[in-house]
Amino acid sequence: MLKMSLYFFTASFVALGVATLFYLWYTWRGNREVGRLASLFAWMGSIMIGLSLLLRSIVSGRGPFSNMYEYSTAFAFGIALSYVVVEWRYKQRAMGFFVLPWVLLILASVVWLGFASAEVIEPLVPALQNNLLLTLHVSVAIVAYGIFGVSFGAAIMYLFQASPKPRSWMPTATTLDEISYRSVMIGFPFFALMIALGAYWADTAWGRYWGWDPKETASLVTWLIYAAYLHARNLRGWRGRPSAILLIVGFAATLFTYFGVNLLLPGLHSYAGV
Amino acid sequence: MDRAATTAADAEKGSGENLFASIWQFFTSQRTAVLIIIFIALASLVGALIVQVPADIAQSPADYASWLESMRDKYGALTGVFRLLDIFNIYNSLWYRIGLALLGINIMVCTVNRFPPLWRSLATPRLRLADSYYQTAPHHLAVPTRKGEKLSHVLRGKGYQVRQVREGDSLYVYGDRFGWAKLGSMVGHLGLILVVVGALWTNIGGFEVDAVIPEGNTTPVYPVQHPQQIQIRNDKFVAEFYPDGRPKDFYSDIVLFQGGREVKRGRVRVNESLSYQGITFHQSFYGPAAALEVKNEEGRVLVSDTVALTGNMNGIPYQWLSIPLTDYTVFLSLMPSKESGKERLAILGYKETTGDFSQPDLQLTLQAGEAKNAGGLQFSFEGAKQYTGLRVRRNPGGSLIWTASGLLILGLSIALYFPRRRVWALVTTSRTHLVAIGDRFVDADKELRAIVQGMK
Repeated sequence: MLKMSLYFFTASFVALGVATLFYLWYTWRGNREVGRLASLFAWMGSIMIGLSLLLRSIVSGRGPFSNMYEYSTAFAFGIALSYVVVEWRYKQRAMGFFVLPWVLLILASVVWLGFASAEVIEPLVPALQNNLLLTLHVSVAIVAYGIFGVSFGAAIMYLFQASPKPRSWMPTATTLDEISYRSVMIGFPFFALMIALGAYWADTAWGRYWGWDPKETASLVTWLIYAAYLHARNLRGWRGRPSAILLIVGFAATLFTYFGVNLLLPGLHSYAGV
Repeated sequence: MDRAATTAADAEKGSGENLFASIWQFFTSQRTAVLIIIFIALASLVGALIVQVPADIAQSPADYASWLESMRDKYGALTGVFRLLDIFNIYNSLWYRIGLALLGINIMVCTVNRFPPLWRSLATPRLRLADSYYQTAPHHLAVPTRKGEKLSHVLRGKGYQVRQVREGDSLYVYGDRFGWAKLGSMVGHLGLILVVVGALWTNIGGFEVDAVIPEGNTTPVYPVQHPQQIQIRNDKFVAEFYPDGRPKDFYSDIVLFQGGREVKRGRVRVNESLSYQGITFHQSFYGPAAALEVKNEEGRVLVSDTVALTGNMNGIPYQWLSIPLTDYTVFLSLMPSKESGKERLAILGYKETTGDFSQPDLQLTLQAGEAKNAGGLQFSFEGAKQYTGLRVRRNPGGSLIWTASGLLILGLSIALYFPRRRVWALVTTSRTHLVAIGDRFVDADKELRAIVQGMK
């Protein structure tokens, strides 16, 4: 079953790669048939990463959230799934080329950094042995990070489209602004819930809810950046470009929280290392 | 009072009010909020990137100074600047706390400022707009029908709270959907403030101590004796490891005593704490201990204890111990061994009276079960054991913090997931005019078209 899970991982990698190429083609030529194919592959890829994670969870008997391989794959799944849902909801295929490459990049980094950890199910250190909180805390994080990934893609496109000469094949600046704003509105409470669950867990496991551990601090910083965005968007001087830049900074902070802290800084979360 | 003085007093009063008004103004602005949030985010980021001084070192100026010296290799000349700006202890620094306090004030002022108009718009909304506005509003629609009752029905069906007033031949209809969700933002911000209040309450009214208890020993919770003193006995400590050496499980069987009576017993492990009278006992850390007995020449027992070796020097656990009724202070260190039970205890003894710690006055190494004489004392090592490290705390603000977090998330979700939409309609003898206002990305025109569709 673990083998199956890895096959699904590889298949999803390929499917999302093909989808990205089709999205590029679609973006270039505007061919509707190609666009449909791109979406088809994106859906297949997302479902397959999901299946890969599901099988792995069945083998290990817990959520797939305990080493770099597991949670990076889960992160990629979060973004891919959020993307296909947003695409379906807004009928904006041209975004694919701006979101899916990030998913591919994460999957590639998984292969490069941590594929060795993919073939074994590692036992958990005592602090992580809380199945309910582990699953809740990390799956809420995956949802939030995935949705923020979509808002990031939309923000980058916004910067292209808010120019005097917008590209006709891309969604309009207004649509992109709406997509990124709505994504943040959906993701923001999830991020807050993720932090609260983390604090609650830290309280149960270690007897303190907040200790300014680098991971805790980085997630707070990320949350504050999105809080600033939600407030800034209502202000005249911050609308448009500055807000979009804030979103890009926000996602950089998200990535830092997710990977940077574990790879670069020592702390309580670094047990979930490569 | 002459006229000049009165004017001056008035001016002063006026400027006082102006000052207050402009401070109030400053804090009601969302721009201020955004700037403060960004400031706190940046400061926190610096704290995540630059090594922060551990709390126990920060408390002692001497330790802090030597810790700073060790940072000099890394940060060089910047070390002094960082120290001045409290960069090594950001989260406890005055300026970081001022930032948090400003944010708190900002949130409270904004909430107080916005509540009355919001409440008015919910409780006593404007049911009618100026007649001309029905044809000039950004989102308006007119249909050549006159179905006031039908319109109210459609609006109610879509979840609007509907009110109407009749004036002559005209009927004014007002509908508000998700208006109450506007309160979500208030609830969310209140939650945020209460989280901070809860944390402060815990900081002021609670306590947190680490108790180091070797197997078989008993330790009081508070350093000061008092009648309701709680004591903890560690009956057994067990640590299990995976084949690759990472910890798998560790737990302690502890018994709590109060006033000499056993009041509670149980097993604590990471993720499973024990609680008694609002005090919780968490399994936090563990380490080696040495069971040691020291007798003098007359056979009198001076030490009979399991000593926790909490120090660590290059992987070798150690502890200092002064032997009562002698002037010896001994340095105990446990030499590791591949086979468990074969660890050796190295003892170096120093006479405090000489004050010379360069050369030990006695020196011996013991295996488990062995006894040796040195310096007129008999040392016997009964074997290596373990100590458990428990975090003992009282967290009075805890339930407030979790309730407030719940409020925060609930309020945020309501405010963000349920955008308010309002519809005003003017039904005249021949036509129905509709105006809609929606929060954020509600497509007001689409909403109006759907309402008209429903009226047919």
